[in-house]
Amino acid sequence: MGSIETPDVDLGEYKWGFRDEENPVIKTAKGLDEEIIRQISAHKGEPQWMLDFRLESYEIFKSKPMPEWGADLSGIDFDDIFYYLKPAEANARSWDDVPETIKNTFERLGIPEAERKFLAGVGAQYESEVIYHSLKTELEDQGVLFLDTDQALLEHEDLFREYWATVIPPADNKFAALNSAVWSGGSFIYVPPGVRIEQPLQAYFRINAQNMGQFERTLIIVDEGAYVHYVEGCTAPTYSSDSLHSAVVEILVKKGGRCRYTTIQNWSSNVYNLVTKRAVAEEDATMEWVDGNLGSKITMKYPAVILKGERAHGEILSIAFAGEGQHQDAGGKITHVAPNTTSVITSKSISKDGGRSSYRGLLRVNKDAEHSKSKVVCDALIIDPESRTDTYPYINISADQVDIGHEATVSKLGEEQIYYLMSRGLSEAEASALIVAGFIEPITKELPLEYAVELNRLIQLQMEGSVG
Amino acid sequence: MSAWLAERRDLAAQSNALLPVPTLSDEHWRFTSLRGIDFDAFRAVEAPAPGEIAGAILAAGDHAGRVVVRDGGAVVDELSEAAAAQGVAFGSLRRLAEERPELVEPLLGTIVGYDEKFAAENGALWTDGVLLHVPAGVKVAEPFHVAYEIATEGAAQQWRALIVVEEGAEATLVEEHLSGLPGYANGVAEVQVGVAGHLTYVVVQDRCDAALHFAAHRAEIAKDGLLDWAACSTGARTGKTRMETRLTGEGATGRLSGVYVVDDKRHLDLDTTQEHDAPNAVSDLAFKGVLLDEARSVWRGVIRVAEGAQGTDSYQENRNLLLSSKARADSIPGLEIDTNDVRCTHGATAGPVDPMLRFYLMSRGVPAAEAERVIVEGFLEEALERIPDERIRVALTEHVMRRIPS
Repeated sequence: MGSIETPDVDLGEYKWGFRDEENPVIKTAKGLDEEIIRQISAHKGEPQWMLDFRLESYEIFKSKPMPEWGADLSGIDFDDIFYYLKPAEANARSWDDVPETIKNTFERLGIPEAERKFLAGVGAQYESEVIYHSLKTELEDQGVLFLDTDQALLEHEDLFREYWATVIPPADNKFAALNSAVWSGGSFIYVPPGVRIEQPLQAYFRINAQNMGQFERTLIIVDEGAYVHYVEGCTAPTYSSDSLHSAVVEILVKKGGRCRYTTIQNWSSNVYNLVTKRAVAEEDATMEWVDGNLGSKITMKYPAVILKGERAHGEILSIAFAGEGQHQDAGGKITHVAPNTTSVITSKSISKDGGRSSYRGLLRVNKDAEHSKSKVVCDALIIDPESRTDTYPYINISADQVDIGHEATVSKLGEEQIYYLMSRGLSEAEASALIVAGFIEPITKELPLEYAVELNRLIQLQMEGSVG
Repeated sequence: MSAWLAERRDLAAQSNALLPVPTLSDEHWRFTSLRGIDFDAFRAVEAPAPGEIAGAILAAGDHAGRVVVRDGGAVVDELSEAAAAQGVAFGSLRRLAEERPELVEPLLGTIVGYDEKFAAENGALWTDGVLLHVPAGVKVAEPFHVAYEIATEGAAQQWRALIVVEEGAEATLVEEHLSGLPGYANGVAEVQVGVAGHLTYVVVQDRCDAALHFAAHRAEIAKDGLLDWAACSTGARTGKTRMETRLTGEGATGRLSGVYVVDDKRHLDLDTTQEHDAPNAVSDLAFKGVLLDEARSVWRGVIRVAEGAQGTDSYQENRNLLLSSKARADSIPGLEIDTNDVRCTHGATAGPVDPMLRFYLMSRGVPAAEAERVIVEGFLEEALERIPDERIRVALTEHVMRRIPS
């Protein structure tokens, strides 16, 4: 898998652009109004406070203007989207119970059987509901909760309500407000104090129905001294009209805890991917975002860490690949609130075939965050003259005794490197793919093995035919 | 006034009437608030009587020409006989716009247009300033000197400069904004460096504590041309200075150096561009700042590489030294790259004096306060040493170090 052989694949068609027949039980009408929100809430049997929360959020969504910065969002038609869809299949507890058509979908995503066994637990979101969860008994015994967010609301309402929307309130931005109004699915994770989950928890997400908006909502609470690595990957079939994916991910890492959240996003090239992700790290806690953006038409995603407690550490690793017709507007946000906090942002982007990748970052050091340290490094690679890259790293510093550094470089593929590799018998495309793999290596080495392999494979496919 | 000039002023006035005063919601003004400033309270004042040039860095020493603009008009307007004999035109812009329209008319308002509020206002209302025109092949060793000063409290000074160094020509211009009295300064400098021309352009802004300083400097550099541009800011209450460089010809080079020392409650806002519109051009920007007391600096810099500007080599750095817990530095570097064969790098840092450095110096018997000065001087020197003329470099170093408490 890790070899540099380049399979013969027609790039004119999205590789994973297959789709299953739709068979939804509940599908709301296109567009959004109060009635649809009431329908969603009623169907889920939610408590009144959640319905109120949704309705309030909807008012905020309506009152907020579209963002005028960043990528071009004029192609989104909010009236042409289905906001809720529940598939026919009920939640399944074990792999055997998962319906065959859905299994096929996962099969074609290329998750080998052997790897599934490796997974500690799997929550897969198929359309708007989580289809199944399999949690290892030992995790349950440790008091770890890993279930879909809807279920968590019903089964653990008190815990849920304590943390819900505390990191990302509905008024945070227009798309967070939209998600708050129509959210469905996503993962809810609670790791009790001192529990360290050594194997990553994984969930796969897919959009299947045409014009199906996906508004999943993830809430992760890592209690004191606990550790979890959550992995979320997305692939989506290609459709002719635009889809909207607008998720919200909230994470709270308590004293001495550590959380790593890994995403490899590979939505098909018609999806608007507008996601709000934010974590709060308390005293001595560590939060790490590993964020890969390969697919979608437009992505606007800036994972954030608020370093709230002393000596908290935040890390963002971001990789973006923008091909034809794509605009990846990605980056990261770090806010140093407490003294002696540290952070690192590493961003790597590749632009090709007229694609545009932008790094947009905000580093803020508040007044009391003395003796904080931060380092931001952004590197961009441009494959051909038609492509474009931008870097907008905002830095706001209002504290004393802080040490802040930002470095960025933009370059093309080194002709000498290609020449050298070709002199060793590689084709030009193979050489380019290898150089790109080396360029993003600081990120791939942080991924679980199967993800690193998958990422390298995707990059190889994208790089084919790019040079010569 | 000539008809062409009246027409141009009219055009600018129309634009000015349409443009609102920028607010914090305008991207480029996010960190600089103009609320509470009553621009109408400042009034145009004709030139007062000439006097001593107080605080000018180049007051002493030889020069090829000197213009001093006080409030609304030039009170000193001199050109050395040697430079005049070489065919150089230098002097009051108001005078030369009438006497030498062939040098002014083709360019005035073409490099800095009227699409931005302050530039539009200046285009309509400028009263005087300077023209420097160095003809092809002419090399002038001595610096030209222009100084602007507000000598009447509450005056509005709308100054304007047009600086042209033709093919193969060489010159140095030092532009000083003297401390003077509180008032409102708004200026535009249009700079053109011709094919293989070489201009050294030093701008020193030292307006007094209560002054407002707005300026738009924009330079275009033709094929193989070289612009060595150094900017030093130590003054004014608030405002915004734009320093824009466009490389229009293959092999052009822009070397942009900046030093600022901001104290008290001053607010300094610098906006720089490095616009690569031609292949194989080089731009190299280094801005270093020291912040004291409750001062605040905003630096926004962008490198833009247009499609077709292959072989671009561009560098951009902004480093800030924070000497007080209440000082604040905002750095907004940016890259917008539209082609692939480029090497672009930028860096921005902000931090306090390295305690290890201080400790080392103190262990060698240097008192704490002096150690800090030594470190600050070393920090600023990295930008100051890029100024080629030794006399200017030494004078500027003394000037900025006077701001650091001992």
